[in-house]
Amino acid sequence: MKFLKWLDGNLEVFCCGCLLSVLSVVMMIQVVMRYVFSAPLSWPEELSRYCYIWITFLSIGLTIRTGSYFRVTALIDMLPRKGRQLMEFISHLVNLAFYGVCAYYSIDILKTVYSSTQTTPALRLPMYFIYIVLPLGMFLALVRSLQMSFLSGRKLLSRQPQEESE
Amino acid sequence: MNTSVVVYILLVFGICLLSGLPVVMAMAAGSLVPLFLGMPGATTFPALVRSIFGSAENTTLIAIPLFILAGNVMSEGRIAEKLYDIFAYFVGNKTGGLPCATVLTCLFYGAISGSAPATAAAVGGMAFPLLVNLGYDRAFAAALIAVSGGLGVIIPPSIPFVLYSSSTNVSLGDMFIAGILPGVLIGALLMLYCVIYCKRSKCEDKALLEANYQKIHSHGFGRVLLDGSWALLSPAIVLGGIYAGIFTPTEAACASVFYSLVVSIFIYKSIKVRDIPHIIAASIRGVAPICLILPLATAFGRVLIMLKAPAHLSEFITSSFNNQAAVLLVVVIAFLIMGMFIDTAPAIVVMAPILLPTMKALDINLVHFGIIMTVCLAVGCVTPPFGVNLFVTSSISKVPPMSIARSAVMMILVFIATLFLITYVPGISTVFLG
Repeated sequence: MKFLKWLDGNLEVFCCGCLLSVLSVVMMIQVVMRYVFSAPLSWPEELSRYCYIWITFLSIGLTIRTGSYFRVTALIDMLPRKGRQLMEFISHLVNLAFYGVCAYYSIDILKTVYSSTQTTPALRLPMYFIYIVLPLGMFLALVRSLQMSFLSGRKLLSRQPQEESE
Repeated sequence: MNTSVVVYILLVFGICLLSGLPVVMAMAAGSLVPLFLGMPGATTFPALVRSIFGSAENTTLIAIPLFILAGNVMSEGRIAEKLYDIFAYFVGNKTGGLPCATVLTCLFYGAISGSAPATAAAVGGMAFPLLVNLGYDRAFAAALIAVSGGLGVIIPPSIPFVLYSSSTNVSLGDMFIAGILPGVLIGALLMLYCVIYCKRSKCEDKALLEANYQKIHSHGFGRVLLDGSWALLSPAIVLGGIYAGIFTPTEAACASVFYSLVVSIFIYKSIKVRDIPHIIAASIRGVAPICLILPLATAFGRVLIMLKAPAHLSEFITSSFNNQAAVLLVVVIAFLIMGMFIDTAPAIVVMAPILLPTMKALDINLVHFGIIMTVCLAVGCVTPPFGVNLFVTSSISKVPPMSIARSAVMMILVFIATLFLITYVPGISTVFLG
């Protein structure tokens, strides 16, 4: 249970944090190789680009869980509390639908990439290795949307004015 | 036929946006409108997902998490404080001196950090208590920090510049060169305002200021300069490296991450190695909302371009105005209004590609246009109802956002006046371009 709680709060941050560390260190290696040893390597740029892609997809879940995605709240802020909660619930349902469809298709895409023999230019990794993040990120986003739909739905239905206490 | 589809797309996008859906959802919904209308060649779901993947694969974008990371390291490392001390050393006893030092710190910190709220948070967290303890009005101090925090995105490095350059293919190096003079100009005029304000309102407690001034001076100038020089060197590395053509912006971002880590850990001893995971986590929380927005905006823009919407818009605008000055005026006002409601990042990535053909047709320098857009949206960071810097400074100062906005009115007007200067004197942005 304690582990689950940690996972809920930190899963995406942990994964993306590791990727960001790798990205920075690899990029720094490249800077040092280029300017100190004048011998730039071929792979750091590619690796850091893929780290960034992974961060992009794995962080979707985080923005949904924390509600930190960009949105325009000027209008819905004028609604009464229940109205705001309803809009919140609806936007999580929209997320749920969108990422559901995306997750479904991302498996197809992964399959196509898997059957091709394409490899990345510098690292010579099979391309599907990079693309795994696509269904991974989308399913994570789906799970987070489900979680938030549930939480916001429960808040909407509860009668007591209840504070954020999850 | 095409026009009505474009209208539908924009309608769907607008409705989704106003109903508080995530901006990325609004863009996705807009991109999928042609599909639901059963148009041939429409963007399908798999194509959309693939294009998200494709446009994330952009080396320039890597600079964004790195600049955010560098900014977080420096704010944990209390680098803003060292900068402030240097400026306070010189002007601490002058009328309006410390407010000016705050603006100067934002100016220099802007050369380290690429975001407006990050600048306001880092400088504000340090300068606000100081200003209030020395007798400045709480709302004035908060407003000052909120407004000058906007310099963070105008002085390079700047995350909006990275987004603009990625979505328009304008050279990021050029953007970084062009941003410096407009930023300095805004800073200078804000400082002028501070001096006039302090002189006229006589809001300063001279005795308190003098005591504080003596305290800083008791350390001796050598000490203050030595302490601050490490902090001053950071912008020199980032900007100098980019301007001299040594670093790409991404490499400069990376170098500044490690430079600030080394300085904070070994010289200032303000960060411990075990703090690093916490700093990285904070950076991830900061970068997460930005990551997905550019790929989806690219997809959204592509749909509009396929329907030739930007080209038609350009035709419409050039045929009805045919005058640079009038178009720029309309664009600036539109962006100022947009800035009241939308964050900088989504506004740039959605609007830049749409307006690009118009700017090209009117022969407006695209670097200059990028600067105009960014300055408009920097104003948007402090204009209610949605001004992210108002919220940041409100949480630091415990002054309600609207009271801060009220105290900031004059400063915002100074900012806007400078914005018009920058808009109509392109030389301010382009003078250093090759």
